[in-house]
Amino acid sequence: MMRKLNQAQLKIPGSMISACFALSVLPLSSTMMPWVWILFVCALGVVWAKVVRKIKPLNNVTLNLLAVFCMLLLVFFSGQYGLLATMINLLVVAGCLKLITMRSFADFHLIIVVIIFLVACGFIYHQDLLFTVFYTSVLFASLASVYMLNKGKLSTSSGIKQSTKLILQTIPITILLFLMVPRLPPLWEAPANKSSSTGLSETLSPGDIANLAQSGDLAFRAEFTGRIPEAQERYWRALVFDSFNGASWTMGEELSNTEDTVFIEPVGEATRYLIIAEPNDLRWQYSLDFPIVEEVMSDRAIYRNQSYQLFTQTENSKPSLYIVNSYLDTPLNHFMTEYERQRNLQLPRQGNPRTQEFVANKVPASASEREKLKAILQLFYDSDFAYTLRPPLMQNSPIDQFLFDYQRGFCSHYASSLAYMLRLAKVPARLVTGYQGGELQNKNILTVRQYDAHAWVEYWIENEGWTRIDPTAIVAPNRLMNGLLSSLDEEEGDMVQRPFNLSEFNDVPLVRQLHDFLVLIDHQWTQSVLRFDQDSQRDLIKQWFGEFNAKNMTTFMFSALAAIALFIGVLFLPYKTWFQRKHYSASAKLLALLNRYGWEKQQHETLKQFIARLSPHLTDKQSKQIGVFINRYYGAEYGDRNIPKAEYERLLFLIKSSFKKTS
Amino acid sequence: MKDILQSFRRNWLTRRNHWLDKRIPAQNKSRFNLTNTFILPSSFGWAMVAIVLFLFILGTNYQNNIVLSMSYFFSALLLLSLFHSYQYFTQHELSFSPFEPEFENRDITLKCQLLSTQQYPAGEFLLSSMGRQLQYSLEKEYESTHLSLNLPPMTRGLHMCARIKVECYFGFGLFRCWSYLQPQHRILVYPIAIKAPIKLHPSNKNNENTLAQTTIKLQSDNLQGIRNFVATDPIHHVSWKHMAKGQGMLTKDFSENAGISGWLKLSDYIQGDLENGLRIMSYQIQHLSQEQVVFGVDLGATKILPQTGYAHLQNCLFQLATFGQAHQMDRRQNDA
Repeated sequence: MMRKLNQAQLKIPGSMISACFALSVLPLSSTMMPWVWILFVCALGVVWAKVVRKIKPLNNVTLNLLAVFCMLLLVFFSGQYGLLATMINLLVVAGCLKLITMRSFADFHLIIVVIIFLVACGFIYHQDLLFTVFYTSVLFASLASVYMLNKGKLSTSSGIKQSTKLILQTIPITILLFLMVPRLPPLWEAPANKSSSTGLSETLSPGDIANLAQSGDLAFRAEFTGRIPEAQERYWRALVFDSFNGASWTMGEELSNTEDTVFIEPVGEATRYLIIAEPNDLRWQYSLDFPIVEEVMSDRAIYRNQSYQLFTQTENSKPSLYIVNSYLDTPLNHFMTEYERQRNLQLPRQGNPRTQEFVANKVPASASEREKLKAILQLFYDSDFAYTLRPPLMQNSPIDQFLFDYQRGFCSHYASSLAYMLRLAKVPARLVTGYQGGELQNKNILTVRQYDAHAWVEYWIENEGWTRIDPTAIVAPNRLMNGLLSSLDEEEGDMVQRPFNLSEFNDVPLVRQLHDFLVLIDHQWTQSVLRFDQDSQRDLIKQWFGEFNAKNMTTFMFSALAAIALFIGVLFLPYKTWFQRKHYSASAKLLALLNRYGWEKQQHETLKQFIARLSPHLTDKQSKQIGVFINRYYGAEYGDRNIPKAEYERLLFLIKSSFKKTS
Repeated sequence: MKDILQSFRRNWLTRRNHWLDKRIPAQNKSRFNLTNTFILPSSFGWAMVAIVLFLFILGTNYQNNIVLSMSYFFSALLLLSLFHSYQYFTQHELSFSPFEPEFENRDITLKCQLLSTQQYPAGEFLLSSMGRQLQYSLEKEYESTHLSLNLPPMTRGLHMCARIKVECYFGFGLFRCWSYLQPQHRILVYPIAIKAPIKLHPSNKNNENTLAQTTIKLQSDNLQGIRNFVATDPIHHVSWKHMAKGQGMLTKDFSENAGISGWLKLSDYIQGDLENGLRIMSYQIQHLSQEQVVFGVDLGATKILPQTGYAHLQNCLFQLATFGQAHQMDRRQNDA
């Protein structure tokens, strides 16, 4: 039978659930289609109208038509949005339609299910602590609203209190399950969610990094054990591009080859740090030059190639954890075969004629590498170049257009045009992308976000090796010292999606402490919750039981189950009544006995009245025995006589036997 | 197809009821406990089980600890809800009150008292039987509530009440606790009244022939006097004039009816439909009783000696109601 919601149930739980629904949709707003927003607002409006006053429900034909119309729209737009986004939109549409029709308990439950799915989708995209806290409270609130449906006439405040109690009781069990349940490898390859792949890519066209710069997503964290290099020294190498086709840069296949890698004797002092990299869909890792990997904590080995890049065999679908020692003073000069020289001098067959002409005219062919570079860089000094996140579109001969027409661009424009010009001047050069700088969270933790993405150039100086030259530094020196935001004007700065950061207020000691504390919590959250895996489970067992083997694993699981059982026992066993001292009540015994023969004392009767009512139905013997008992009992209760328990028991036995004979 | 389903359903219901009769015998007062309580996930609960599985697969495939935690959280919620729902439900006691006798075409009121000896505050109970449903919100712990559920009309007779489903979705509505209870009290259904001329056979057997066709005109103006109102007096005999003057409820005593007495015979009406005959008898008994005529009832095998008054009326109607039922039951069984 369908249970309908009454007005009171529609009012408070109804508005709670619609608020929860709205809150769970908001973080996914970027994936939502515009027309879904309209439906969403309408649905909230209908709920509001229902809560404020009773309105007539929409008729079924209208609703079905609306549903069909929505489905058609979804199918129509699905091509533009991709599968996952369409599914999310479908969920939101289903939730909205149910909000509009909400009549029965089943509708209400369906909305809860939709919220749970939306929250799960949200967790796939974002897992930082603040977001988790937000979504967890949305979940809890929607559960509280279901509780309110079944609460009866309880007041709202105590209903919320009760439901909070019930929800909080589940937390210890959740934690135990979290620790206990074995982690499985992925059951099958899940479709990668597109938006988690914000990050560098394996091809680079001049405009690419500008888009990336608007994202505040975390790329990686670095935890230093010693001194942290200055901001302008922190060039985090990720990808090296050596092939240019006139419009975009790509990397050669050989770069993932480690066979020819020679051992390099590091020079100078090591900078030791731990990297915790967010997942992306590349195989490349981040490090400062020149890196030697000390230890890899995640399950995939990390290799280094000739271009000093770190990489793994498979894509970084999971977070990576590794410790690196970087020798900042070591020259990058170990290798230059003729083949490699040719690769780094490779030029596109055609295009960019004005640049070619410029290099031919202005750069002396016989000069040293340094002099050639100086001549080229003079162009950046002489003209009025600007650093901007919104460079104009440059399609044909992009380097020509950038250098001589617009003179506005982002780091990748500067770097790729410089590398191109160096190659024109017969200096081997390549493009390196990665991140530059990073934000200090406290004394030794550094966070690097997508907007720290950067591109720079390396050129080969004979007998010295690869030398880094960053043309952006000429145009926007602040970019290197103080990060991206300082080098943009205010309007462009707003385009950068920036996480809230307390470190701006570090001058106030209290804020500083608070900030350090929050950083610590965030770090702990990432380390102990998000990164908890098979290995952590194994470590836990080692820590508690001494050794990891099948027996200890079983013991661990059984003890966790026992802990859950114990917790449930504490909650539900009626131990309170066990420990209550029951004092002997003779009258209760008598009533229980008579009850067995079908006589029941009414609430308003005294014991004597009850017996008087019974007496016509009793035999003489029974009345006599009961009479004796009652006399004794009243004597003891209201007089001074003391009657032992055994005496009562004897009398009760007599009464019992008198009943037995008759029946 | 529909017929097959219907017969299948009927078959299942009889089997179920047979099993229930053994497991939960009819009782007027039941405390919910292990033997009479059923508990299974509700549809929402099953959905939650599916969600737990889905989240586990999702979390495993994306190696996402938060999604896995969500899965664990909902399993913990299911586990605890199971206990909470059961404990909430079993801390209630339901006692049925005796049924008031009703007429065939009227709803039967099931009255019961729900006593909560619970540590949980409030909650909601659903009672349903024979397609009727009652949703009742409880207010506080340790409180008893009187509920009444209107059951659809039944045919004449003394019936066992159908099983009453008592349901509860306490907590988050994830589990449905329910029980099928049957009161021991019986439902007494009188035949409805069908108007017909009154045929009273005089008690004096000698004059049977002459008076056999006497139809008594009951609406009489023959006022004998005024006396104090007795609860059984018909309301239209109350002297409203006296009442209006503030002299209290007084009854007008009519002379004519006092002298009349006789027998109502079922055999007079049995030619056509028996049920119809009983309905006509029902009308006559009620009417005569209202007019305080002394009359007896002859139902063939059963005879009730001429009498008057409320108890007599009830006795006569009881005999009509149970006429022809295989087991003639004592009236008292009804109230036991």
